[in-house]
Amino acid sequence: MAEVDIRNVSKSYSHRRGAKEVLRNINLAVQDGEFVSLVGRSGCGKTTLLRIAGGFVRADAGSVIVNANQVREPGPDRGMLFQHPMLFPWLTVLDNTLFGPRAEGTCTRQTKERALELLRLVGLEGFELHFPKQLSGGMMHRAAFARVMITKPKVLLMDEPFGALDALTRVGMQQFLLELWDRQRFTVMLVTHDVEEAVLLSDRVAIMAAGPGEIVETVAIPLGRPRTYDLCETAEFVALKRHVRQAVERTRSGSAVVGGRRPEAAE
Amino acid sequence: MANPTGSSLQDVSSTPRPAAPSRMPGSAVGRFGAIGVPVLRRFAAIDWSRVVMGLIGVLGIIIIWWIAALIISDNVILPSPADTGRTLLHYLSHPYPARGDTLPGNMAASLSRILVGFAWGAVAGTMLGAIMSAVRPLRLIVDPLIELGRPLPPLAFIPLLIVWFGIGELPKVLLIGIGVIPIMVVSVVAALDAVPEEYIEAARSLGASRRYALFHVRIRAALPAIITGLRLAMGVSWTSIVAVEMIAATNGLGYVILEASNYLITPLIFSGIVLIAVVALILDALLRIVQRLVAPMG
Repeated sequence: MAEVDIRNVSKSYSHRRGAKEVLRNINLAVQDGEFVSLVGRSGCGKTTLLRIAGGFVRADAGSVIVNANQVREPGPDRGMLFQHPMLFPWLTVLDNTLFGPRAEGTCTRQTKERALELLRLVGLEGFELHFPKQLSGGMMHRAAFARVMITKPKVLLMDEPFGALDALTRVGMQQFLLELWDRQRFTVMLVTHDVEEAVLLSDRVAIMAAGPGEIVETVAIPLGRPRTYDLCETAEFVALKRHVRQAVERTRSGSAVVGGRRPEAAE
Repeated sequence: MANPTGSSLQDVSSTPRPAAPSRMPGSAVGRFGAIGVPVLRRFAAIDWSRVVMGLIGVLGIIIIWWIAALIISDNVILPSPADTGRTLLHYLSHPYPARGDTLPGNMAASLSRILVGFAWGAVAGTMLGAIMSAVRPLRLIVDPLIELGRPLPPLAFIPLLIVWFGIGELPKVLLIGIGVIPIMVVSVVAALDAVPEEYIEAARSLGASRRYALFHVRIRAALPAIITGLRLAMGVSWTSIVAVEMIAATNGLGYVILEASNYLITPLIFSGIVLIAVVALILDALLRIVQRLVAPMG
């Protein structure tokens, strides 16, 4: 059975002048340990779909099943990573990592050992007692990974997690994510508008079209693992990337994109 | 687990600034006992250049005051800093007026009014602000009232409060609260509104309940800005108390200043002003220490 099962999900937002249909009848199954990306133009509803899976937005129709439970509200079985790391600035890196277990009241000495191990895994050994402001952008993102992984989520939901990083750090984070994923094989749903990122990281890429948002094509990425960034220069990769890019370009541009404002991010 | 990420990752995602030493000897788990270390680090960051520049400013004012006093050479118009200091020292142990209280006694009277008035005003204002931030209809009702009342100087209420409550402690304490509440409401609402929704979402997806996210994230994240509100409110408290003590009181620093002015004892006026400045500075410093504790590296 699929780890994440999105069934017939539809969503509209009502405005003063009627409703805008954001998602129409979306179906997507993500298998255990599978890395799936959602790509599409701004306004295609990909972020809304991720937020429905996260439990932050309620679907008008349809359901999202994660690990045999229907999603009703946010929960630690679905780890969320945002464009910004959203580390709590008043907590040290270690205390940030321990936030989830403490909130659930399950923080033991073993949890703390695990937090230190995770911080070592993400390359933050020696920075446990630093505050987020003392870290670089890439380090903050890696701390956010440690924080979300400590609750052992069934699936990681990432909303353009590296979108705000500079190009070099971004490549570093993609490399980091590839290595981490090779080691742990967690289930991932990643929203991005970077076609290269989607093809490099994913097992499958779902291409979404706007107005109303639907999945128009799902492309399997049969590239071997482990992968490194060098893969981007192989002919096989370039062909897949071209295929996905052209599929995205064929979609209608988001009708609701006014003045560069993304309606899905506006709510 | 041996460091499996390898060095390449750290190389790519830019090295951090060389920060305060956090690498401590001993086992990793042993570090949990060391909560004192980050606390100490928060206070270690005294910016000495700021302290020195601040002192230069204060000394500069005193020197200008002194020169002006020498030129004017009239103790009633402008007493010198030395005169003021002598008078201040004298009345630390002698009552003024003769049947009244010493300066420390009057200071204590003002301070206790401030603390009581500030405390109830801050609690009421903070709670009202918090509820307004959470309950939108209430906010729509109370907001215009606050906006209407905010430009009114609290001093405008003094005659009314005297008519209603006489000249005891109650009207004074009420007046301070009236000045504090709108400031706290405005700053608490703004502070809570400014907390990014993604903090709450991150907390909720890490397993926090709504309640836990409210107290440990939303309110916690708003604390530094709320304390800024407290500092502003503390300033207004002093304005209110000195004014009300000048109109309806038989003790307190405001009363002493007015009495000294009636009898042209200008050095005592200056002494009162200096005392108010010093006490207000100390109270603000205490709030700043709290602010620093809740906003490490802020």
